Amino acid sequence: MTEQIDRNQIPKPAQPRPFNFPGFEKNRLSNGLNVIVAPKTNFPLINILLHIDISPMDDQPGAEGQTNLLSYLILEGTKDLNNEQIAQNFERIGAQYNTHLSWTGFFFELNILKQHLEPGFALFSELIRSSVFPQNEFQRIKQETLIDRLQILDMPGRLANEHLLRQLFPNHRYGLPIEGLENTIQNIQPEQIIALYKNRFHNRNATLIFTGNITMQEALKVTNSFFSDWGKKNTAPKTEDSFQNRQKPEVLLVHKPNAAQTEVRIGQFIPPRNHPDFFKIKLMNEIFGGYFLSRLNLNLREKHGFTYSIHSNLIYRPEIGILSVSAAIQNEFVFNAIEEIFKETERMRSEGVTAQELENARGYLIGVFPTAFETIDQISDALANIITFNLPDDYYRTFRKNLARVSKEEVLEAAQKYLQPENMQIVLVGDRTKIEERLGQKYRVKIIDPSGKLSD
Amino acid sequence: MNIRFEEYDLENGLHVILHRDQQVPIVSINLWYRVGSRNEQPGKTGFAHLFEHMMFQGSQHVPPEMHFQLIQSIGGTLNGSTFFDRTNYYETLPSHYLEMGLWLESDRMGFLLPALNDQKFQTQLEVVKNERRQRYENQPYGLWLEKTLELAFDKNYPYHWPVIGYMKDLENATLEDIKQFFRTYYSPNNASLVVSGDFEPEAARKLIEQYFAPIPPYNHIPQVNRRFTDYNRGEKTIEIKDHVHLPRLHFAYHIPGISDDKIYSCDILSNILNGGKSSRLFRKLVHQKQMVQDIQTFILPMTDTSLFFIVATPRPDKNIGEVQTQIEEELRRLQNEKVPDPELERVKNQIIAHKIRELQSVSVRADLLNMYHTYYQDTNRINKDIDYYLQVDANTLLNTAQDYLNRENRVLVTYLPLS
Repeated sequence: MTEQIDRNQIPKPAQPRPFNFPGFEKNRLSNGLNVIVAPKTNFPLINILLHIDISPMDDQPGAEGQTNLLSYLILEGTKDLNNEQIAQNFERIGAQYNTHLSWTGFFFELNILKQHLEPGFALFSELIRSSVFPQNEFQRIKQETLIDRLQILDMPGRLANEHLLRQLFPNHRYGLPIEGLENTIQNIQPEQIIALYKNRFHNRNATLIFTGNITMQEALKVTNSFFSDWGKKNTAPKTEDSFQNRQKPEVLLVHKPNAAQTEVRIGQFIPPRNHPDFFKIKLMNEIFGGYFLSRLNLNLREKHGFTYSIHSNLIYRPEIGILSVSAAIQNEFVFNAIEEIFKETERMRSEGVTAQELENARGYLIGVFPTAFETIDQISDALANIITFNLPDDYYRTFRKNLARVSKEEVLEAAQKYLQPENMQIVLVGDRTKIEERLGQKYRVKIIDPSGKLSD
Repeated sequence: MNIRFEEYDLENGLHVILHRDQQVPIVSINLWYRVGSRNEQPGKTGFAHLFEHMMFQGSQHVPPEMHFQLIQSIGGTLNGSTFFDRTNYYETLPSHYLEMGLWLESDRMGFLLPALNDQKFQTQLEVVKNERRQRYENQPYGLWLEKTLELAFDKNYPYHWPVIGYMKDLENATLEDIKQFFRTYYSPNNASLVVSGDFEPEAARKLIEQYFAPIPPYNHIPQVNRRFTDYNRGEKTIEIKDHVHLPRLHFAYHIPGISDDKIYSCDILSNILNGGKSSRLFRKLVHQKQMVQDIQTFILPMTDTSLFFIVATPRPDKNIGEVQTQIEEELRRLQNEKVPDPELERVKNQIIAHKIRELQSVSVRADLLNMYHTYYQDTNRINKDIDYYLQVDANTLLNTAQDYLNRENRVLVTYLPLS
């Protein structure tokens, strides 16, 4: 016989089991290369992530996109191997590998079975150290990048993101895409890539992160065999940029004929990731639009049905943060949706948040912590954040404690200090014939086509 | 790797699978219902998915909005998804909240209807219509799958329509339709439950019994008894002009249903063609001839019969007829020449490594256990899957390619730029 349960009662939790961010060790070779190892032995897998402190900020003005091309060309040829052999050598051991460039640096990630560590790492290091950038592959990848730019004109979400960044950073590299624009990509020459590689790529601060079925001893052994005589490491020069929110925003409308919906982006600056108010801002954003229980979602999706999904995200560049609200909105309700977003912004600033809302958001961010570090790729990315945003080593170990400290008064303070509706830039990608008229009654609307050309 | 589990049925027919792993103090609860868009009728498409949305709106003992709130406020993640042949619901929770998760899942399995009302329904209907606009109508090439299915299956075959449904049908949906859907399919004997992660098996069994056993089964659950036989019955094509800058070719070949062993050879063929940068189509079309910007091959697995896709995006200045010829030449090679051992070895190694990687997460393991149980009636397939791949040899690949990768066995959906 089973005992009767009372379905009207929410079941009480059992005793929690403790969890912590995995322990990791750091080491430094004599040339300055940093090595971080986070062992996790439940699978025969190793994730290797190399970060180099070179970014799109290293591009020459007018030839933006150089560093991005460099990051792709790393896989295209060395003194001894062409791109087919490189791909074959990785793929025959079942490796997963990719290079990519972000605003916080260059990354090369390799995920392999432990039994293939030696050959996998040997090839990995050869690509990093002895790439030759064959002319024909340079031309091919440059061409592919130019065609990518063409395809982006068809993608409303991507277009909206790009135009928001252009509005926020009108005179800064951050306002252009990582891969550059058509005219800047056209200007890139192969010699420039080789010079970047020789003069910066090899000499910039670099960190190798090993996660998974590996010890520090094993990691140091392979690192020493392949990287001990790699270039001396230096810090990238820091630019002294200041970023100002712009006043009195106009609405930028990117006209896309026949768009079935309108992509909406609303964004402004917030303090950088390592700012002391980070945890207050994090909780404020969570309640505002960070998760399903947020005000924006409950209002625009669950109450009004204007959209399938709406979020506000915190996006970080090394020296500055961006709070960006994004949603794909039904054409008929674009004006109302913008009104509701600003209403919620004002409400965050005037009423603050309830104790229940704070507890829910805090409970979410604290409780989801173990799920966020289950796989070695997740752990590896988290360790990379510590490096790239210059966070303290105990950042993840103190993360939940820091969230627990934030009071509802502090969330209100953060909203009042950092949410600035008068500075929020509004970007829409949609069909002007369906949305322009209603918007024009309240806003000054500037209309451009997807490539950025002004319409009347 | 060996994923250990135990499985049993409750008296009401609910199949239960328990898999314990205490690495991280989290637990995944995963429910598969054997109902999807394939159970719909023409004119009433999109109902299985629309229904899925209503499962998050509270149930008799769970007030509206509390389903999300109870899970998220303690750090749980949750979602659901609807496919042709099944609908799943899942949450990953800090492990000490297992009982609450079971309470929520059992309440919406047994006591959903009293909580449904027209206001919730109308709002979710608008949300789903916006989902259709966002994910399909407002994306470049967004209707590629819908168009493929319409050509691949005749209009009464239950794979003819997209899972999201047609806008017209959604607009005609009523709350009563949704209630009827629940009364027809949402029964313990049409579902299976996986609990995976950190829990005490004894305690979990008892809780599952307490929460799920009292839910009565349905006597009669209508089955869709269709058998697809239209292999190699002639090519079907359509050209679509759209607001895109590049053309795109979607080839879809009819291949057997998911539980047929030939699916393993199809998956290997797909990887020979385009599994990584050393694969045949990538080498030839992207690297050497530089004719396409992008190429993908993949399988859309379904129970009755599946589709094998090759999707190529020709560069703007290239002749799409020539791209098509080159792809067909590679398919003929697979039909005429045995795949050399090193190439087959490479693909098998890639698949093994991929399978191991995906098992890292307890929620993925939960979903896979449910998948193997539902589609194969063999949960332990999760541990044998790799062996099935390893058994495939060059002769099997040759035969599979000859049987299925033929022009008269395919659909071709071509997108062309409007201007």
